[in-house]
Amino acid sequence: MEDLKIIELYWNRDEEAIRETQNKYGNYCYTIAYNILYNNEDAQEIVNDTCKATWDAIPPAHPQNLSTFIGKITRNLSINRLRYLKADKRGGGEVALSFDELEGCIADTDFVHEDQQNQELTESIDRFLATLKQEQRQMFVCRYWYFDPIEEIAARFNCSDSKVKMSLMRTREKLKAHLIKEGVINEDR
Amino acid sequence: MKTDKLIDAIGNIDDRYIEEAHKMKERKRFAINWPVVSKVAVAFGCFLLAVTLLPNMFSHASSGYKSDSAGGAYNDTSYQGMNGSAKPSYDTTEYMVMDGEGIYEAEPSDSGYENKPEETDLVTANKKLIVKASMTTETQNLEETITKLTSQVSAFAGYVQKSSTYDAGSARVYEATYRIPADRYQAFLDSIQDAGNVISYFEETEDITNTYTDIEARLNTLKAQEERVLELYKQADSIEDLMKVEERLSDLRYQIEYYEAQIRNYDLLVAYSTLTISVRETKVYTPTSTSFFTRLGNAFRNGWHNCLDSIGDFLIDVAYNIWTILFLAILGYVAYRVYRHFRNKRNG
Repeated sequence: MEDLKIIELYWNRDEEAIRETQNKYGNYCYTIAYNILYNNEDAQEIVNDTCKATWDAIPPAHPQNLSTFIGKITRNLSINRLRYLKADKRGGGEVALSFDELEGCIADTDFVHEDQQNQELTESIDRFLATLKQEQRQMFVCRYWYFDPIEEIAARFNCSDSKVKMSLMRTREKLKAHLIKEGVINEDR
Repeated sequence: MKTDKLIDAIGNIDDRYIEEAHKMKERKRFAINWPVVSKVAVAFGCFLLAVTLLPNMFSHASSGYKSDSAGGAYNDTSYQGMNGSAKPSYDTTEYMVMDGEGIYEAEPSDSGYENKPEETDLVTANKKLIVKASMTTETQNLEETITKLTSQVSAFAGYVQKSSTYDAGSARVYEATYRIPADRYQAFLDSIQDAGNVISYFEETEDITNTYTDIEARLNTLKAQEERVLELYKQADSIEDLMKVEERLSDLRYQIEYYEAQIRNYDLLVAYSTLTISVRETKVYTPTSTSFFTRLGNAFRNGWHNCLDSIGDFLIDVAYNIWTILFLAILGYVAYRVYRHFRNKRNG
């Protein structure tokens, strides 16, 4: 079923919308959740939670792109779950590695305004992504949005693991330079 | 906290970037991982190369050792006075004279091949000699050499007892056993001297004069006994005597036939010398010089040719096994796809 029809079902409060969403985006959501949580039951729960959250969000939301809309919900729910699990000494997987990588990127820096809105930071990152070559950008998004394992990214891009790691490292360095340049973070503490 | 903030910010990036990455993920889902495939292919290639080349290298090293040893033997004994000659000659043949039980006399000749016929004639005039020889040669044109050898065999009224040609991997080899009339054997050797590059030649002369004379003497004695028994047979006057005489006569005739067969066999062996020849097709002749640098240079050159031969053999092996390799590759790919399928299914 097309996304527009699914959204229409949501607007009509038809529960068929949830079944269609699960059929069409169940695997997609599961992959995102599993990459973050690294646990089958947790990922499955997140998929169910995503459907419920989507049901709650539409209406009033009217997403232009249903897949990324659902993907974002899944990602946010998964990260929240991970934070909860981390507090309970559980969790891990690719997202933990990704966290470490990004932490290294901004370890010796501070946000200029600690209360800076996420929206401003996101816009800065969007501008940064626009400057990247397509392959670099795709690798970056695969790694830090989808939390795909390095090996899987390498397989999808037909290159070696080390090339992916190198590309990601350079992109992180560029991101740091970009954020410093835009005044989002300070270079030194 | 900083990282959380960054992760959250990345989580809200523009949809088109997420979509772009997602589409790419979908598009490349069934792509072959060429780095992995190429690594596996290279490893497999190295394995095949090693399996193909190493035995040939060892075989070459081994044959080189043998060749050197043979050459050394010639220099020490058989090829005295022939150092520096481009082609080994038969004048250095090692003669071994045997009496049927073992070597009792070994007389390396330094008089040269040309003198041997006279010597042989003198010996054969009084002695019964069985000449057996083996020769290893190499040639650059196997068909031409075979034709020349067989035509010379016919020309000298000899015959080919057995012959075979086979492919020994990197080269073809012709092996044959020739029987040449003993009195023309040396002339035959002369005639085939330029049929190829002689690597080794070994000749063994077995002196059966004593054995032959013994058999002849026994035979004569038995025949004399037979004549006397026949006379007794004529004089026998009782059945019992007749039977005893017949029994003795039968025994004598059996022994006479046995020794006559031995004599015929020895006559044939003495009348025809036996030459076992092995001709190997080669691109480069084995050097006969013993200079270190010449041998070193030749080793490099021959090694190069051996390497090319090995690569050729490897390609031929691959061609022979191409369907098996393709089948295994397809099987491996399917197994990999099934593994990926289940892994992806597990991951959603």
